[in-house]
Amino acid sequence: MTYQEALAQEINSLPPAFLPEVLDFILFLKIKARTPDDHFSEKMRELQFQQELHNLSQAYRLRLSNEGKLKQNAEEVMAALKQTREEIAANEYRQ
Amino acid sequence: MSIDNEWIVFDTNIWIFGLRNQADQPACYQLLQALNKLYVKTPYQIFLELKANLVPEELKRFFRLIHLYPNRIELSWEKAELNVINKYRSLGCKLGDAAVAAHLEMMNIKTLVSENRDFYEEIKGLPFRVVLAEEALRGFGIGE
Repeated sequence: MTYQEALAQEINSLPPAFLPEVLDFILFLKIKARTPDDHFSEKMRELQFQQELHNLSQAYRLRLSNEGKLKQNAEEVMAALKQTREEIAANEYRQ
Repeated sequence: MSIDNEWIVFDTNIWIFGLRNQADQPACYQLLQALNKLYVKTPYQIFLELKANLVPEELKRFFRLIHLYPNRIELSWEKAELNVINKYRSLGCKLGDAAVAAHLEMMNIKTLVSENRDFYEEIKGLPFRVVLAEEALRGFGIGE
């Protein structure tokens, strides 16, 4: 059995739920293989940043969807934000 | 003109439209994706507004996000000074917009990215420019 065959066999033996992590790790290795060391950590930080942004956005959208607010148009969202702004300012800067 | 090396402020609407990945405001999400290439300050008033819109778990994720680039994304915990707020109130700003304007003046910020057109229509002589997200993406070299 070649090394590649053994690797494929090991991957196939994993539960499907692990496959996204395997793919992430393969991506990690591919990036590492073609990126000079001094740029590597920066590249990884950027990837982490984009992933964190995506995760936050997805979590926020899911909650809004559950609350029935995701389909609000820009005008409705802006109106709510303006109201929140005034309420907070009135509380913070009451004279 | 480039904002690559200038501290700017994203108004709350940019953050919220961006996090919503709002279909009718696609530039806002693209701006958030470019955050790690910009220098963005978040004044106290805007932070409080974000906090009001996010649940604790989302806020934790928000902090995790911005802490990846502490030299480029900063939070300010200072309240705006009342005399500066009142100056903008006298120019016609609502209290909340006046607080944001006061923060920008106190932080010496020259660019506010916002979809809030009230800043254009109501106030003359602001010491900072207000640009829409689309304009920021198109005109200031983000991602180039």
